[in-house]
Amino acid sequence: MNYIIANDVALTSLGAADGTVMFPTNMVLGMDTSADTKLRLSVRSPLDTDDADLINIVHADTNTEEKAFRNMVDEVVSVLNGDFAGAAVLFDVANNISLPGQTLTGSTVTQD
Amino acid sequence: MKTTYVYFGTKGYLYETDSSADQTINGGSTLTLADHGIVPVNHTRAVGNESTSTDAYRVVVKAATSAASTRGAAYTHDFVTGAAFTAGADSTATTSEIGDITNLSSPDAFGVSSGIITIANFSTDGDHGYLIGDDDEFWVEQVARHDAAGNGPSASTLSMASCYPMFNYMGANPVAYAGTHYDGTSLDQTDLHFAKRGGANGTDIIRIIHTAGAYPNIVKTMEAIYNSGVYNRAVTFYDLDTAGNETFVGGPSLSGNRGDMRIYGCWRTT
Repeated sequence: MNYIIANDVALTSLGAADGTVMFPTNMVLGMDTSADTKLRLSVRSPLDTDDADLINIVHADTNTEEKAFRNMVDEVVSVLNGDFAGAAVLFDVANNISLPGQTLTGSTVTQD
Repeated sequence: MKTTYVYFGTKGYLYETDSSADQTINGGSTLTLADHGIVPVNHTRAVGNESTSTDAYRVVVKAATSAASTRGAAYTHDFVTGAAFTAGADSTATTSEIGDITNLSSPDAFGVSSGIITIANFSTDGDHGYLIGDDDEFWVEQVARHDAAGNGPSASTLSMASCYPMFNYMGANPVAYAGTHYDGTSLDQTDLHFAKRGGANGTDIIRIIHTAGAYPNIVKTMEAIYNSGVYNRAVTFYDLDTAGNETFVGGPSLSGNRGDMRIYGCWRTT
């Protein structure tokens, strides 16, 4: 089982609500468009198992870069299914880690 | 735990047999994302007015009867056969003959208000209008990724696209669909169910309009995707981009060829 971390807050804010999530990959519910510049990854929430934590990943505008969303889907899938031991980072604002096609600014984690 | 992921773009589709010779499509009711996968943006009919996305979908009509003074003079050829309308029995382009298929391709052919498409009457516009007859057949077919309100997650965003892990796939439900494509192909509908992406009880439904009898191939295709061993990207079941390019999964062999399993409509209902 892979475990994934996403964090949208700076180092000094770690621990705050709606900042950081860690989830096993079998809790992924799906991905869809939340805007022309955002991929929304839905993960079953540990706080309410009938609801979802939402991870919004900002990418280039699909009106001008047609494949931006599609490519971001592949990048997320590649991380979710990655060959690693322990946990992998999807993105991390505190350490400036992002997916190749991602813009960290505006990428968010919202816990249920 | 690795799993494959399946990706769905959106292609809106409506088939209707007119029942009252009205000039509206869908009986004067709004098209909805749930039922048709497309909600046309408001549009004032005018020559050259593609700015309201009329280039993202087409409206096609098939004549059920032969009648004079029916079809605008600007439409000169059958959309499917390519034959000149003047080649028929009466040699008059504005006279519809049974089976004539007209692509109302001009943005001057119809207006849209709150998702309701109203076709201009021939008596109003002898160039681009069309007098609808009882039992005429209609199609609204999305031909490019669409940016009208209702098609995406918010106003003026592009048509929805969705991706699910295959471990959340809950099954394929065959649904009765009384319709044919304008080229004469009989159609069926299959609803693909996935665990609801919002986490609540229930399922997300991806609605597929496909060639009649293809349900077994739909099921086998989902099985093939599940067991494909492709883990570094999502497998596209169907996609339609803003330029009108389509991507097909290609049936159980995952060939990518349209002819191996053609998709006529594909959308998420919720």
